[in-house]
Amino acid sequence: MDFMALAVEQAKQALADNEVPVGAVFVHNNKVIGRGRNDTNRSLNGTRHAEFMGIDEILQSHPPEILKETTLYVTVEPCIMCASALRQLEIKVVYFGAANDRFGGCGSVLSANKDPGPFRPYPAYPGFYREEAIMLLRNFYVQENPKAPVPKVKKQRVLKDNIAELDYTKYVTKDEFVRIYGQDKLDLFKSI
Amino acid sequence: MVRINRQGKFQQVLGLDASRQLGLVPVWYIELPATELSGMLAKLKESLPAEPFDLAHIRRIVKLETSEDKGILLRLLVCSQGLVPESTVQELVGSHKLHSARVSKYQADTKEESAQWSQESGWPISWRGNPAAVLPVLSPETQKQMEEWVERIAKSDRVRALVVNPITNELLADECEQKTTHPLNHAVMRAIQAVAERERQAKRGNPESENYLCLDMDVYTTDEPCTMCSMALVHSRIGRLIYIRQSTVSGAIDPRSQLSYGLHGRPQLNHTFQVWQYHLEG
Ligand SMILES: [Zn+2]
Ligand SMILES: [Zn+2]
Repeated sequence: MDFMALAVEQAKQALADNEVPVGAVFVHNNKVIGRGRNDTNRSLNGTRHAEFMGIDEILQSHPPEILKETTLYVTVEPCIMCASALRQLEIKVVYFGAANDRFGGCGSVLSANKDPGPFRPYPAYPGFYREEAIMLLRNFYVQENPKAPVPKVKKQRVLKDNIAELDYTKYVTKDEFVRIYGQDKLDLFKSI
Repeated sequence: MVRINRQGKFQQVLGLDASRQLGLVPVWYIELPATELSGMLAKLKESLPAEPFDLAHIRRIVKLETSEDKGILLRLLVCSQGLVPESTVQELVGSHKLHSARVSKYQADTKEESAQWSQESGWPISWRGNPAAVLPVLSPETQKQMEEWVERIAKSDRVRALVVNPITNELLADECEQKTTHPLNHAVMRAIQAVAERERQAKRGNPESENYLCLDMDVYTTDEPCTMCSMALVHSRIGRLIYIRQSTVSGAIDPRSQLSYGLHGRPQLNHTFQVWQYHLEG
């Protein structure tokens, strides 16, 4: 999962730029072919997520078909928009860190990666570098987001360092779990 | 309860929950004396992450009984089950016994439904009216203005999208899909991009310019948007979507399209918007 460490680096850069800290790395034949981090605040475009930034980089020098043999490592579960975009490009597989309870499109809110529908479905495996990803997000959200339309009154927010367990059953089948995480971790595979 | 809202040539595309039934969310609650309430509330607020469901319509505190020796006894909803491990919840509430209950997942449409769901779930909903349940009306002037924009794209042989400011009736973007250069360059994505580009330029001229994404804008499209584009419209906080053709296979708006996602009407996604389908044949 060294590629995920590179994705975390991207997320840290996003945080330094006052963007929601999400980072992504696309890997083809063991080689990084695209990187991305969230860019919505700078671009004033709510769709400039890390995944799109990476895809744009790839398509500058590769045909779209390369995505079919490409793996994505991203610190947070792709949102519904990105999950659909990745499926339209027929991405091979996605590994992610934290679940995206609000907008997640790979199991949290919807399973746009594998629901019956057009385009080849793809597997998305959660939990890699999850603590790092969550702590980066918490670091960001203790600051206010001055651009939100009607600022909600936020009480003094403190970093909470207790991290809830991940419900793997929302994202993978038991067989997939054993194959990806190992038989010895099976006690983690339970509905929460 | 299935509702229909037809205004001239426009028919509202309602969300998934237009025909929803009572949904139930399991929660933890405790019973405690009223004197301990504020301390406990502060502790919970401090320690619990945000709820995955919007439970603002649920009564957090239910008064149980008043007895001379114990004073007022309350039932306090702690959090939804699964938000954090049970052991963490138990630790938070200390010596209080954790009880399990189920609450209604949705705000009801009417006072009667609210009372019924409160009874069926066993936990009260607080009824303050539900503005989302009131079907919107399009005035004849609004319909005329909307029809003019629809006519502009109705004969387009490519998928096309407009972004219009409904207050000033100003056109902010007019884009067609360009999938040959980039498979994700759908009309909606390009239109959102064009609005952002326009705003970046406006900011260069006037740093005080304060438009937020496509907040409250109208979006017109020839075709019902796909999952990617529909979610992009949620992220962009648009006010209203008007389209001509339903996309029965890839559409992510109309609950009757095969995906049945209804992405414009899921309060959990932080933003919802109105959708109208235009019927060319009146
Ligand atoms: Zn996304
Ligand atoms: Zn689309």
